Amino acid sequence: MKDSFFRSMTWLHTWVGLLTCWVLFLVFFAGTAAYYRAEINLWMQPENHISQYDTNADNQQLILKGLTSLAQQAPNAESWWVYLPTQRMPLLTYAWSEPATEGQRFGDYHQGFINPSTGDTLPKARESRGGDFLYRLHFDLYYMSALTARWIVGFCTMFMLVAIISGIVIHKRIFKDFFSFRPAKGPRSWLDAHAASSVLALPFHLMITYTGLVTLMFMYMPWGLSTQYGDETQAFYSQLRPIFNSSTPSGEAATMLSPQQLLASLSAVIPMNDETASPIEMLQVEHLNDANASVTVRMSPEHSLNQQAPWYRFSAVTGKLTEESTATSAANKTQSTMIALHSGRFAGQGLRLLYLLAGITGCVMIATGAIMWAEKLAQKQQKSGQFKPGLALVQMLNLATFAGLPIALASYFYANRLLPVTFADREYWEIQCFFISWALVALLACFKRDRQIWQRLFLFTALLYGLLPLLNAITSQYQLISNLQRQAYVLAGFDLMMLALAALFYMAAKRLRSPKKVRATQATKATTELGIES
Amino acid sequence: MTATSELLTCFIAMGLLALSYFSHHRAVRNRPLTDTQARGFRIAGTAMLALCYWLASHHYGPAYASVLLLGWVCFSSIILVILISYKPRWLQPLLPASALVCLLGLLY
Repeated sequence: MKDSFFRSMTWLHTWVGLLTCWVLFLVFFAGTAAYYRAEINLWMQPENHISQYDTNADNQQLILKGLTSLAQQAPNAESWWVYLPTQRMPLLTYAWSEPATEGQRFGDYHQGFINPSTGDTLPKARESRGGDFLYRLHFDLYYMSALTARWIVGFCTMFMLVAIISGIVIHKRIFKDFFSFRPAKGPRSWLDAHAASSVLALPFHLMITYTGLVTLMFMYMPWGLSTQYGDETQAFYSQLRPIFNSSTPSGEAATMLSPQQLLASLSAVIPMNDETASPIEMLQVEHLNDANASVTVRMSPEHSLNQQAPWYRFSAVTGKLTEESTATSAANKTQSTMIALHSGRFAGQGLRLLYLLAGITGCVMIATGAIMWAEKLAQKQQKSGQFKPGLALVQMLNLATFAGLPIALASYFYANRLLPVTFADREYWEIQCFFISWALVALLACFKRDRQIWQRLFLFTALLYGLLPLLNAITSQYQLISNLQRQAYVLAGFDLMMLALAALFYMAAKRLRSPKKVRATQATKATTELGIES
Repeated sequence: MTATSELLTCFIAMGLLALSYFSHHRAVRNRPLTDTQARGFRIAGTAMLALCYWLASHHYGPAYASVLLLGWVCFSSIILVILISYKPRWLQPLLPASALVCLLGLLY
């Protein structure tokens, strides 16, 4: 019974993992990159590189600047937003949405940036989806409706959870092999790499998979919600997140307070420049010039794990406080903690780096699992002399996904800098460059899938990532050294990360040298050593 | 500096736990491991891990420290796996050196 149970679990782990591994790799890969969404956004708009985070900035003055810019540029907008600068996004962002026209759910969205240290409005930045594309890609995929994509991702995530649990069951020597990796031992090494990458970051893999399902739980399991609320699901969401309960416009015109008056009303309630209090994260003005116009101020949750920060709502006409956050239920806190754990929003720079490392470990776990399966099958088929098309398909998908996606990401960054700033639909074409380069690698994988092509593609990837800091130096007014000198660590960190990735891919390519070449190099080395000795 | 010291405490803890394995101990120190030594390494490693959590929760609060500790364990283990697989002897001087840096960081 034990043996058959073990075998059943092995079968389950293998097939559940194999069938979904390529989609899961995309989800893990894009999700891992999305931990640096704000940093990628900044890097991909070199027009904003001049901006620097100022710890001593006066929040009151910054808000006033944002509101004044909005009052000048969009007096008849539907909503205004002002986002205060953070270390990750050292810009004061002001944004507005136009009233929705017929057939539109939301009106057109526009944004502008202010350098917080000088107060200057920055020139219009190039159109780019930046890190937001990667963030969306990891659960909305692309070229399909978001709903279909979320079902596909949810299905694969469920499979991943099953694969992880069955993997724990079948890994008998989980503690005995904890620090073990035996290099250059063929399939044994692949198994070690798969086990090590799975076990070392196991808490992260379990957490990210489970919380991934939790983030969309009302879509995957809506029955509890529909039993309690019927068709009135909006009522549930209003209770869950009251900050989003915007008032309805009255239709009666009214004169709003000026930015200065508004600020005076806010600062009477909210500590604006108190270093001990949470800083303001965002300010939203809704239903402009209406009697029900309101201002919502959300404080930063900073490093709080449940990410439930206090918020306040004021009337934009009278300046009176109308609503504020109250204590939420334990269930509500648990859900938001799980979402925060998944998104890593609470993480400081150090922990964010660990999230990235664990995400890369997840990618390695998926890739090594799929490659190991193909290697084992190839050995078996070589012994029996029977070749089946399934192996070729898996090998093709492996190469296309595991070598193709890093190239696609690098191409996305290159497209951002090489496409002319005035290029029509450049935002769209940046994304198309991502998919075109991925498709090219997939096409290559249809014809060639041997060790040599893996090695060459990894070398090419190393070259692409290694040259990115140089491209940045040519296309931005700041480069790695000057960014380090002026303490613009977000931009310098991006370049350093690219160099680290280049080194990683170069090392992988070096280890993938064909066995014949390795043997030849070793023989030459041995001969040289003997020559020296004699 | 405090964060570095805490990370090093975790690295030392995981290093001691790795040394409690017979095969890793042989690879690192080139000598057999007795049962008493193995138990000693295990107890010391666990104690260091507890110390690391205590230091981190003192610094960041228990919730944030829990997530951070798991990240540090993952990071330290990856470094150890690479070291033990390719340069096992390096671990012998690295552990006391880490302990020294960690102590200096905590004191100053």
